[in-house]
Amino acid sequence: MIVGQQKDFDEIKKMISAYSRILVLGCQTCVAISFAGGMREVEILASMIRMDRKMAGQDVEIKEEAILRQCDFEFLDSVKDLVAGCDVVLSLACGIGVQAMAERYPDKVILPGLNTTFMGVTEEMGIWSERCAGCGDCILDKTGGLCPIARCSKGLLNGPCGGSVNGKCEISPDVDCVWQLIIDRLKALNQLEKLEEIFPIKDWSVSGHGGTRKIVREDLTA
Amino acid sequence: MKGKFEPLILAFCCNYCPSCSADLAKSAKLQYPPNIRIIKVPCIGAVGIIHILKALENGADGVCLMGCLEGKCEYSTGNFRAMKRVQYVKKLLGKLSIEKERLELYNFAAAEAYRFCKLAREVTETVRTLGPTPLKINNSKI
Amino acid sequence: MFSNFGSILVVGGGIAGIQACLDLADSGYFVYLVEKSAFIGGKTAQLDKTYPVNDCPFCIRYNEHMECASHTNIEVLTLSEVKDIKGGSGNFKATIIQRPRYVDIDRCTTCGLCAEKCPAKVNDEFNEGMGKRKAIYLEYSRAVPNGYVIDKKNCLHFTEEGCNICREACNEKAIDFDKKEKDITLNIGSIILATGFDSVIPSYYDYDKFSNVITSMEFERIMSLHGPCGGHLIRPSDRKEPKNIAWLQCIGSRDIQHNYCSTVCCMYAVKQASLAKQSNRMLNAAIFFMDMRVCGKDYERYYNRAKDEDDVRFVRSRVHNVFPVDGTNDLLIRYADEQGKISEEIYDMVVLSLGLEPSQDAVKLARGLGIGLDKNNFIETSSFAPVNTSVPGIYACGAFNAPKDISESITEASAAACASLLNMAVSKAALYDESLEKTWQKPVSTGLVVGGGVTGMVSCLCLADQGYKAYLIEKTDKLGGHALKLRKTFKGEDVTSYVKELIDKVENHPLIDVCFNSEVKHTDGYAGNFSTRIAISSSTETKKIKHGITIMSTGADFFRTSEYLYGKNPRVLSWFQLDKMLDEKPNEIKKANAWVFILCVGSREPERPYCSKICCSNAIQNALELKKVNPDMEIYVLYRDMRTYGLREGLYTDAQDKGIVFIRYKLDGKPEVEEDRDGRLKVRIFDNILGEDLIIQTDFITLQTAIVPGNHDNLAKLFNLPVNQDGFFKEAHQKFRPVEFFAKGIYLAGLVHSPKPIDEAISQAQAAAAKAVTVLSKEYITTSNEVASIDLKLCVACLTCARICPFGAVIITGMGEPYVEPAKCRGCGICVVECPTRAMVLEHFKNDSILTKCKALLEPFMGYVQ
Repeated sequence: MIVGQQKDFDEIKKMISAYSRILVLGCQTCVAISFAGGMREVEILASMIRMDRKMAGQDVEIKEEAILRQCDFEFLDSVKDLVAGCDVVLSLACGIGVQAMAERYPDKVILPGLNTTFMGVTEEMGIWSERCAGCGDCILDKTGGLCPIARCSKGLLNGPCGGSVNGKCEISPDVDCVWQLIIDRLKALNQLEKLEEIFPIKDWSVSGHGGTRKIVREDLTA
Repeated sequence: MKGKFEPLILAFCCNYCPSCSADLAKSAKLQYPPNIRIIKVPCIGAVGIIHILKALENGADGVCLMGCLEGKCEYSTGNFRAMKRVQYVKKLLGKLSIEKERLELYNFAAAEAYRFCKLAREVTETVRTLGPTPLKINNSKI
Repeated sequence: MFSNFGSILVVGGGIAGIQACLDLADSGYFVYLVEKSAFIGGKTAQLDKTYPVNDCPFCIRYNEHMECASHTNIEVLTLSEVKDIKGGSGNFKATIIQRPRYVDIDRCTTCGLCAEKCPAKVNDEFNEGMGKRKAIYLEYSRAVPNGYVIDKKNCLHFTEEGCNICREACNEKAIDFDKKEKDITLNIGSIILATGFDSVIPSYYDYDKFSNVITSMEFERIMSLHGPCGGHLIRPSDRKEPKNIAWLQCIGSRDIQHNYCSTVCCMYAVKQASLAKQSNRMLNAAIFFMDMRVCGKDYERYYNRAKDEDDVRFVRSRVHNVFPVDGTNDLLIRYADEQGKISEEIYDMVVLSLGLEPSQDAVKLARGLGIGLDKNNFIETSSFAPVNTSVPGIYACGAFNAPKDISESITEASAAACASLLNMAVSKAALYDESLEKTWQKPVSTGLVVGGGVTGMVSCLCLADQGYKAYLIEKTDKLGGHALKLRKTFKGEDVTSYVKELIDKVENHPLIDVCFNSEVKHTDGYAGNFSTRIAISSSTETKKIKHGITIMSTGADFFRTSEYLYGKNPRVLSWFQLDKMLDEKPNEIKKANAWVFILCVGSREPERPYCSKICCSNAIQNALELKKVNPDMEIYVLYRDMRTYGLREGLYTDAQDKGIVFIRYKLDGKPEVEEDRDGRLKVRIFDNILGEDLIIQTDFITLQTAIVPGNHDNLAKLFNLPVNQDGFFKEAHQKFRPVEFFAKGIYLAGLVHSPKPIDEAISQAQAAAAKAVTVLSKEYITTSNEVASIDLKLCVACLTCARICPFGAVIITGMGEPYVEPAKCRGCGICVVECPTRAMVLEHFKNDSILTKCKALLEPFMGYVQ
């Protein structure tokens, strides 16, 4: 799941300061689940903006809406009229949704209301953490199902480093050293020998270092 | 021209202990200021961030949430969640430069009619001192 | 209208009586509640707060009071007394005298005009005579039944002929002076006595002479928000805030006339003192006591908190008299400490912690019915049938059986309900069959009881004897649990043969299915419809059981200590090893010259800050047994506080008479046990009275080791049940719902709740069964009609609702289909506001309607700002 975090209200305020007809558009999938851009957040943000404008003595007209996914063009069509009726769309989708909106509505200003933070899990209600960096070349088979690319502060492939103390990373005592976790887990699985193999230098070309990535499946295309 | 400012306070009141205290105040013929307007809710945990914001947006000078005593929630965690939400909304109010004192959470046992009235008076006084909600003042300039 | 044959009479409308009524009525029986006064609620209603949670009892019980008054199966007869009872079990004929109320309750709107106009002022007994009320009055504004009453003794209409002021004032024409006393005859199947207690009226300490010497109940009223002082702590003489208050314990308890401990006074004094301290930090609050008997669940923590955080002073001394200080209303206390040093202190106010004794009217009633009473006039009961009186068909609960606190009274009330249900099972079945509704889902009429100790077996039998099938899950290969190691109860009854008989009954009962060597693997469902998988170690297959209720009675364990050479020297025994020795090796006991008992081994220590409740009595009981076998033996009991609560005090006085030596030690001066090269034992202990070390040569040492929670982590996880900080299961409410969990349909009983003796475990077992029957006896599963629902078009299966629901009512399948279990959902709305996509809806609490209400309430006021 993509985890997002709403931008600071002051930043949003500045972004939209020049507009008086605003559509706050939520996305009801990933960012809704991470409490950053679902209908619940749309209502709260809209209310905040209205109050802020009222205090400044300025008029504002805000429309509130949320669609299932802002990353699929078909869904974007359903808000056509709403978009037409506003000066600006404040999108509470992840970066993908914001771009999709911009692509679908080329002559409308689309602004991002949140920061797309990472791909991760809900550890528990209200706590999310990163799990995957989308490197394009998965090695979880070798590391006991724990990813050192996303979860080691240095992204080390042959860890741990000297900064691993009592199972914690040197950057903070609150952060687990993923290499410690990998070793513990492989030990429990009786597969410690897997670590004897030295990881070769990673091919980062599939991670975006080789340019924007694209997948084409011939069997599915029109 | 300017009449005496009478604050308007919206109170979300849990249907259990706090409502019982409020009803008790009524049956004991105790008085509390008419400035407090009560909305009964099934549990104080059912009051969301949006409800608090909407109350303020619609012109309330103050909002208070009335829940059961800590650990005494009929639904086990409702008052705890309300406490966390109030803290969160106070942060949002900071962003809007609205005084945080306009929002408060109170915990009641079921027979605290006197305390209910006393707090109602205190809240009214606090908000009266703070003056009308900034939403109104600035708006009236237009 | 169905015949009243088979209905039940409950005498006494206090907390126990109300609870018994509700349990019976909810199980489908008709109940008459006879209450002497004009309102129900009893002494509990007068209390300001209850320990150990400092809840206001009224707040929590108000709904129960209302329910009792309005329940279709309960008829409340206030101002009534039992005149006569004839007949026998199953067919009593009771005559009740009901005095007139003079106010028609259905018409009275409690507007209060009558009382405003009434010219007759009298002392308010509800406030212990400290305030005034009128002759027409309501005890307190929400008293139940909620209608005024005329106090005939003080009403001028009756005393001075002709005052009609209230009648004229009443707009509803509710007052009728012509009403007459009447006799009501009832046909009754069983009777429950719940008549409660009277406070001992002290004949000393010049209670009457000094206005600042008050009783504990007066203190409750002073502290009460609705009391005569509006919750301000002030003393009666000058209504000034006291700076020093002394509590004197054991007034009317543990003396020559009352050879018992009133059980509740230590805790209520601790409560009062700490609440007083919390209201005024500068206050000097001192409790003068002999032994601090705080042996219920979490009581020790409460006591420690009062001592450490609230700075209440505890003085170990029995105060013999209170003297006036000339020229003031202050009081002088002269006392001797443990070393015999005399001190004098002056206090602004003295609170007498009054003991409990059975109410006089109740004693008269019980005698008339031929019910056996003990020498203190408490009802004689057996530990194995704690709510049965000596007369079949008549049951008793609460403080009439022995002094006890609210939670135990409530437990006993439910137990008495259970016992009387068993007595009536036949007459109920006849009423039942006709009215079954097929359209609703019926509860599965089966119970699952986990744990085959005495508690579990008693629960099972209670269910099975009422015609419900019961499964008993036992992890070992035999029934009986720790009770198999016990010999006798504190009353001297034979536990071994009782347990044997019980096992026999359970194993041969056609409706009980005992699963040995088995444990719960998985469970699902809600009250009325659970489904649980059981693994049996002898087979690889699991067994699936459908059941309507679950009772947890997995018991507790004993602490394995390494202190005092236990396990190293064979002459250092645990308490149950001594039990065994008494049975098997009396000769060794005859040869012994000295014996030492060490109490509180592992209990009341920083890592286990609770009292194990049974050890003091057990030690003395065994010490007396030793004396019986070998009268010349020297016996020493090393203790910290002697907690022979309730009727167990008799054991303690008996032991003192028999020459058993009691030596108190402190936590920081624990006894030291040494052995010489031949294994002979020596105990070194500091004697507080002599002020020096004593060395005792002894043949044997018995350790009263702590009771520790059993291993029920897995059950807690499977059933989603809370566990307290000591590791025992946590009930729904410590005071008022002692055998229920928050989750409906799951109950707990016995030592899994907290350490307790066998009689209390049995009454919990019966109480849990009574609660269970309220679910099993229903014709259909009741659900709250305010249930959350999900708009599937909006739901993205984010799991927020499932994670946040306090009752686990929302289930989302692996395929992302959400579902609200209606029997579990209680309509709180917590999920509704958190739902990130606004898919969750609560019909009576729609987002839009709240927002509209918000606006509506705010609008008319806009006009104020101009």
